[in-house]
Amino acid sequence: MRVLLFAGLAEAVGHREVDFDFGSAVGGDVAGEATVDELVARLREVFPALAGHVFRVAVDQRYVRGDEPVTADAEVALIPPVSGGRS
Amino acid sequence: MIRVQSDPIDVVAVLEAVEGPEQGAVVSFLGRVRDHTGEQDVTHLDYEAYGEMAERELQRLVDEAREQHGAERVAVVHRTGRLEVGDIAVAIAVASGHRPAAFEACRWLIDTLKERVPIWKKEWFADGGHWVSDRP
Repeated sequence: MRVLLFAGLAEAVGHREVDFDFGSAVGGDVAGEATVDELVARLREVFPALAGHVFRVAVDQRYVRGDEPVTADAEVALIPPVSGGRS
Repeated sequence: MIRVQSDPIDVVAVLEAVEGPEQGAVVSFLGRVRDHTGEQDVTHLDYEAYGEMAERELQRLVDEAREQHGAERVAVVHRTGRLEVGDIAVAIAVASGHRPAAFEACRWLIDTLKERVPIWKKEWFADGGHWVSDRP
C-alpha cells in the first residue's frame, strides 16, 4: 500500500510516500480489508514520528471517516490541517 | 475552470470563465501574499498541494456552491510553489443572476476551500519557516 504524506507530516516522517505492508499490518490476508482507524493505529506504531500530529485520512482522494473500510490497493493520504483561514 | 497550478494566475481569464448572458452579478476574491504575520515580516511563502485530490475537492466545492449557495458559474484557481509578497495565491469568481447569491457563494467558497482543500502554506521569515498548520 502507498501512503502519501504532505507538508509538516512529510517533514516529520522524512518521506513524502511510504510503502506499507497492509496485509501483515492489519493481521489478515493481503486481499482483506480493515477500517481506517485500524490502519491509522498501525501506521502510528510503525512511524513513531507521527506522534503528536493530527491529520485526516483520504482514501482514493476522498476524505473518509475512521469506521470506513480501506483495502490494500487504495491510495491512502494523511492530510494535516490545511492552510487555515487567517487571510 | 478549476485548476491547481504553479504558473501565475491570469485573473482576467478567471473572470472571463464565468461570463454568461443570464448572470448579472460577478463577485471575485483574490488572496495575495501578505508581508507580515502578526509582528513578523514574511519573506515569501511555499504552497504544497496534493494536486489530484485538491482539484477533485475543488470540484466538489464548486458543485456544492451551485447546489446550495446560489452560484451559477464558478472559476477557482490556486497556485502552488514559491510565491513572493504581493503574488496572487488564489482567485475565485462566482457569477449568479443577482448579487446576494454571488457574494454569499464566493464567501462560502473561500472559507470552505481553506478548511477542506488539501493545499498547505509554509510561511518563511528571516529566521526560518513553518507550516501554518503547525500553529493552528
